[in-house]
Amino acid sequence: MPMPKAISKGDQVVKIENKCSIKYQANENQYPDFIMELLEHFHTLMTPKQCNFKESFGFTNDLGVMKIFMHIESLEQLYGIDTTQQEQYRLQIDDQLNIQIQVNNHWGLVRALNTLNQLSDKGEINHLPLIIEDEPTYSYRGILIDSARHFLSVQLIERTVDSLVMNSMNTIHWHITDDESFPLLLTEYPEITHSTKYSENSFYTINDTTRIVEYASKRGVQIIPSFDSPGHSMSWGMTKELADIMMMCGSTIKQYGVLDPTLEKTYQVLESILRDFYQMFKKVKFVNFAGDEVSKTCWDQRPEIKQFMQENNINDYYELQSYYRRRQKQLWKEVIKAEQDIIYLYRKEDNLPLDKEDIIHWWGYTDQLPDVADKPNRIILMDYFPLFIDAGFGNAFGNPYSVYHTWKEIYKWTPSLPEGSLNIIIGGEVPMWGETNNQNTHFNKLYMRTSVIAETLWNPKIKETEIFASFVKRLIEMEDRMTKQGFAVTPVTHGYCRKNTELCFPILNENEEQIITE
Amino acid sequence: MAFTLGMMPSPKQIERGDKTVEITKICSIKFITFDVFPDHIIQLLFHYHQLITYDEDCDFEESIQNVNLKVDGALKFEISLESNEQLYWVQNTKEEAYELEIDENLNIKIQAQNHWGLARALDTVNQLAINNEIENLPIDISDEPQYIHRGVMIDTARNFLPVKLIKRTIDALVINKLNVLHWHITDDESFPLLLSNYSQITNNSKYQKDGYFTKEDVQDIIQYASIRAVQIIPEIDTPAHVHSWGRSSELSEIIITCDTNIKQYGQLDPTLEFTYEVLKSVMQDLNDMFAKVQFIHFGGDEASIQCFEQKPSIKEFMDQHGIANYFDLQVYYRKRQKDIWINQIKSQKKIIYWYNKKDQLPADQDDIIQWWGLSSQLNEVKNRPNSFILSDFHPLYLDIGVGNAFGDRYDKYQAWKDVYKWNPKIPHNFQGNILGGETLLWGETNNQNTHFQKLFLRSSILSDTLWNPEIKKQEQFWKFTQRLSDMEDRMNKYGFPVSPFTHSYCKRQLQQCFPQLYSTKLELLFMFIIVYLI
Repeated sequence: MPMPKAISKGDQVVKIENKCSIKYQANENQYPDFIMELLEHFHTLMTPKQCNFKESFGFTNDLGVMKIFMHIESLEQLYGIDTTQQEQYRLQIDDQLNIQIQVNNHWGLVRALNTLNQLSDKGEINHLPLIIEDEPTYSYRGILIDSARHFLSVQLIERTVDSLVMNSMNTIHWHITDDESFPLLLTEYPEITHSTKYSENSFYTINDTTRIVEYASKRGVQIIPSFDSPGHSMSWGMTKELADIMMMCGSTIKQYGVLDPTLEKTYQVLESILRDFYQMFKKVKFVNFAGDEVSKTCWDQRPEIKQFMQENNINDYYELQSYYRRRQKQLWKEVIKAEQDIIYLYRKEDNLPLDKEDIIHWWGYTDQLPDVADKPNRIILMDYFPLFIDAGFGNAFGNPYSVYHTWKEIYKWTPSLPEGSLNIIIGGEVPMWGETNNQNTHFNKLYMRTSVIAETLWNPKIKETEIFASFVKRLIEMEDRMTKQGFAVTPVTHGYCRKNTELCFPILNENEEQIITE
Repeated sequence: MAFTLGMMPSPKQIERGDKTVEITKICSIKFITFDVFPDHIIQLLFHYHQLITYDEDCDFEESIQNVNLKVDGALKFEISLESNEQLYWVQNTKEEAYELEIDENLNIKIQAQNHWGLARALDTVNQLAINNEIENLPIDISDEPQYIHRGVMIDTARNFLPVKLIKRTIDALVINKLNVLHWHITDDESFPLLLSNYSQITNNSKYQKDGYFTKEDVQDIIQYASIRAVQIIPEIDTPAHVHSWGRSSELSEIIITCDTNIKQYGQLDPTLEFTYEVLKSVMQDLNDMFAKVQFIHFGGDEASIQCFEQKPSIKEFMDQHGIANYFDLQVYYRKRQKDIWINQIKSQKKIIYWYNKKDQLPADQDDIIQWWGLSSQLNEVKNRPNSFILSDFHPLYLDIGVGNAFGDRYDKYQAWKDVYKWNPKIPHNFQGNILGGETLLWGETNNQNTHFQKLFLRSSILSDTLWNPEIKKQEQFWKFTQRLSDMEDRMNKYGFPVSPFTHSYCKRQLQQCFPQLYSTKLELLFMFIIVYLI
């Protein structure tokens, strides 16, 4: 899981005899460090603890040992990709366990090794000789994590990367800051960080971000850092010096902040943050500037804003928001001279104008997609239903919040656009918003639902041909794999149905349980 | 104003001073008694010694040497109990009552009837001392729970839960002053209790090689619980929820596999003598394995008429025996089951049955009714003079809202605030007697990975309500959330992966985020209407 695209298989089963069963048919010094680290990552997954990674290099003819020959076209380290070919691989295994891997770069190698790990994790390989030719359908296959509502440690983020690797997912959209906190250590305005952090050390330094970006890159995962403005920015203005750039709004319970887009000081601070951001995430391919949920009534609070708008021919708050976005982009592209393209959050209510290279990150309902259909932009799908995997557990105030989206509902979802849409789908994402999520619930909530989306984004066609029960069977195998690697995932079903998948899951739509609503 | 000292559940009566004393010598903790501590109390003290000295590496042996060495800055417990007998349950709330006095020199006097009261007192001290200091000294606490039955239900039939996890669950109950672990052992899906005569029932339905409980496991769990003042209530559900009984060729005749779409539901055939033969043997095992429990839970819920209809011989039997309908057939089964239990096995243990709107068989006066219907339907059973355990479907089902075993939607998640709003409320002219309540964690989509996240902190809130329901009337909502937040920190400290109740910003701004329980007047009005309707 995800299911490869093309498989040609024989009928032999070969046991992997030796415990330390991997031999890379290469010299130890043949590969750059980042590839060695990747190989070591999979070596840890695939062999018992006592096996020495260094000893897995060298040429051998031993039967019962996986002998891996790698043909990697480019040895350049990549931090992001934009075509699906970059993750292509060809994996050929003969009945002597000679394994040929052909890839364009290390991202393809990650996917090939993951496939090999899944094929061999029961101590034998079936269907030999075997040739797999594989490539994802979408180049963006991600999750969102939120370190603003609860701080997530660097270690947890790295573990999250590990979990994605097992699922051939390739993106962490890292929603770093929000109203509640700004856990990214700034150089010129560290008071923003310090006045909102949750405990002494709960913020990320440039060392942390570099480490995370590197860790992910080596494992074929890109980091897309995000800080949200001009809404979701209360944390910017919690000190006296910066209080004026932010307006506090909301009810007594839910407080949130919106930047004042008419003040030059706002752009001074913004420029400095963007500069830090650029430095901290120099190697990433995309950034996400969000721009969602800007409260219009919030701006009503300040009469000066209206005045500014009149003086500058800004007709309404919609145009004011566009003004902010233009200036933000100008800072990013022209002043800082950053090259990364920008992703913005979009739904019906946040429908600002776009430049051609901007990417739409859709978080509305599926049936509202016609609202952005006229934009010829790249689009990432994060349909509110069913991809919001945080929903259904109550909100930060203990009140009901939406409904839980089950793994089956996610299975039923496939990326699609309304007829005539000019959007170009590059992939999809499940968001794990953090109001009621911390390290205790993180993997529970992410999985197994993220494994289901991983399959849909890699190989959406498989659903059309595979019977439902065998999908569930693969999902349960994935559950076992993840549990074995120590991820506390939510079980797909109970122990009886685990053993009787055909009985319990005969068809997709048959057994709708009646919902008790009395 | 309510004084809670930040504790959860909150003690009933508190007198306090204004001194704060630091615990400077955590390892010099002393437990002193006039008698010799029996083994079960030593183990209880050891448990709390580990919790209190959590961050340190302290020697327990030194703490129980009965020498009168009083070290400044160390906790010095003077414990007097009326009885040193080991108890596996208690009969009334007085047995969990305790008196606790702490003076400015950290001399701690605990008085209780027995080790159950001692466990509650030790928990109070642990909560007071959690930051290595005690505030508001001198303190004088007089405490007793409102309800005797305060529990959670776990389910080992849908996903197997290892002994270790069950013990950890008991540890989690203890720091919440909860005292019941209702153990739903078997169901349609599996029967993970090793039987003596019909071991094939266990072996045919277990999920993995050693995915079942032996007699030794059961005794281990009961002992572990008793030492920590938690009672175990085992449940074997019949005549429905028994598909697992009939998976061998010898026994297939005693169950009817219900002709539903997909799910394998099974029901016992109550007309066969063979059924009662097997039942008797299972119940004999149960009585032997669980010799030291007070109650036995016989389930009795959700028997399906359609399922009985599948077998024509049943109808025939009914005609021959003057059994008018399937309701009476269930009554017949229950009578015979009870006859075996009381007259043949001669068990003294009282029986608990599930009841809701649809499951309402006659009950004898000493039967205990566990209510799993909606709160608004309690009317249905208000004329029964029985003891009741409340597990109202909303909001006490902790498993609901995250999909069912088939990946389909299954009702709505009950947020912690919903549990907070719940009180053991009875209709007018209610003839029964409320023993307490339980949160239920059915296991279809729960295993060791999700166990504590689903149980807590919602079960902590139930505990607060059942120990001291009055406190809600006096305490401001945000102060309750402060106590809840402290409980969350405590549980995290002890390694329980509980669900956070809010985000970290609100955790630091409780007064701002949780000003009142009902955020709008409209919501309040709505609640009044509902209360009025009940």
